[in-house]
Amino acid sequence: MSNALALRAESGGEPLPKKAYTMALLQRGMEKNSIPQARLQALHLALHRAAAERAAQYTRGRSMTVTRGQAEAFYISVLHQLDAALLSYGSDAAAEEALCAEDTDALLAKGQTCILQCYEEAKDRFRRAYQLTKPFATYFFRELLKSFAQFTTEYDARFRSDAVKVDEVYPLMAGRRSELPGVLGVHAYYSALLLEGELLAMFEKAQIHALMKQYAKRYLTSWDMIAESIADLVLRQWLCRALLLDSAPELDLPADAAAVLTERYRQVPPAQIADEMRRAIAESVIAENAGVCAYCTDAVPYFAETLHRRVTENNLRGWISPAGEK
Amino acid sequence: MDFPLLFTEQLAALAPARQKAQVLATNRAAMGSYGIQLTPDEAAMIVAAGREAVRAEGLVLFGGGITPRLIRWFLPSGYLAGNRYAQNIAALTEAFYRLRGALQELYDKSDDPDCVLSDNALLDYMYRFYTSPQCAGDVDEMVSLAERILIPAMRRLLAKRAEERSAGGSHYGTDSELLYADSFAEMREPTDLEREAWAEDFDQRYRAAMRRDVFGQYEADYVEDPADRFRGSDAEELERMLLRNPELLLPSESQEAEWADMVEKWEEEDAQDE
Repeated sequence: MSNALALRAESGGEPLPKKAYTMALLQRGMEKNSIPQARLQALHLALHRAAAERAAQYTRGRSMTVTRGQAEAFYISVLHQLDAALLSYGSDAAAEEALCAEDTDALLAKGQTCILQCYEEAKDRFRRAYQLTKPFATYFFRELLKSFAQFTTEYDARFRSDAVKVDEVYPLMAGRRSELPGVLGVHAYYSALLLEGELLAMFEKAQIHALMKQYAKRYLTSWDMIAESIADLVLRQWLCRALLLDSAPELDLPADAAAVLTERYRQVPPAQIADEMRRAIAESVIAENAGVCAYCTDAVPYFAETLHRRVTENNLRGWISPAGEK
Repeated sequence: MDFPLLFTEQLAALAPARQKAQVLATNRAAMGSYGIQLTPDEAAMIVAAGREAVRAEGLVLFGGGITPRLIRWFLPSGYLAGNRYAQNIAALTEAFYRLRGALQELYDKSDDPDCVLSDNALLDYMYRFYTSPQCAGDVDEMVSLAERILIPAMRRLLAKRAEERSAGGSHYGTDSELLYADSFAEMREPTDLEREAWAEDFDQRYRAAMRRDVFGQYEADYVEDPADRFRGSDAEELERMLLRNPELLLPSESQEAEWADMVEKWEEEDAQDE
């Protein structure tokens, strides 16, 4: 459920922003007058009750006075809980209906369950992603371990769910960034890392290592200091090979690949390049893993656009690593 | 997220009328034992002063104010009788929130969820300073003394605990230790038996330190030493004790439980009079 939740939210199909989703729904509801006043009042009371519970937990029951900043953090934490519940409905209309019709305490309980599930899934996904990516782990990927350790031991210890995040020192494929707040954002990031790890597992280790060394040599660095997503390097190399040759899970490109691609795609619009890339993905071993297939397909417009731009600028050589490149 | 607290702030504290009723409910105890009481106007003034103090210190109340408890706590002081009863209570309420605000700021900044000075402990310290010869019922003196002693003591305690955590704590090195840091942290959690033993040890050390401060100088009853005339006041003794042992700033669990029972009893008595 949660992976679909994160991917669906990330696909950008919903008009309302995912960050502060509940506040956005309330704002729109008040503007359209679609949320009754009595319902708003009930919602306020429920938010207050939940925040008061957090205040009691925060001070270990020894004081009911907190600073204004901390009180805001409690309400934000409660709203994040509601965000998690309402985002799971999949559409703004369904979420608004749930906000109006469902019992608020039940919504909060559902949100809490979503959040706890996200937290546990996030931990599990990062651990699996780490094991899959370990043979190709750069310095930046290994740095994720420290913020992961902090995330698992100090998660939401002080109800500052806005501050629950990890340092995204390792970039994702196609420049993706998570828009979701708190633990939902962390879950989305680690889920993406797992999908990238599963993508890397579809190719031979030796070929990926060779690609990384070639790339590092071109940019005068060492292979473990590559600051890009390794899955990004691998997928762009494979897509170019698939456009030229076939859809086998191989990464070796002929020596004249850059010239041939430039000649072939100079006049081709990015949309057409994207169609060919999607076909290649659908016919390859990547399609056997639905999650990885969807993840790569979502990134196709980015790769098609970049390929088109580089071909137009006659600058493809820096983007891929043909055989025999010095 | 930009979150306007205003739309829920009015819900956070009890309604002024309810707070006023709770303040007036203390009149029975005040009149019965000390011959003083508050009028409805005075109670309203005290509640308004409390709310203003909370706002000025940047605090938010979840639930009722501190005033009814504060009145019960300070009644035995002997400094509330007279025609300034209401003004003294208002001043003490403002003083409480001023100290509470400073302590909460330190607590928020620290990464130590267990190091919180409870409302009851703060009232106890305030009472001790208020009734000491140095303050003798002067609220301003009491506040300046409390700020001079309690805030730095809390700061030192938080620093000491942070140092202990980083010294004995996470030396995660290997990938496995980082990947499973939460499991390692759970394994290092103390057992219930260990917790009880620590609590007992803390109680003993706390009582020993209190005993030393109260009775440690008994020899002066028999041996006259001119220097004894210049022995420090209670507040100074407390300050010296907290300098040596900042962990004694926080009262023991049994003391907290005793205060909680006392407050609960007061609230039950006052609820009958509301």
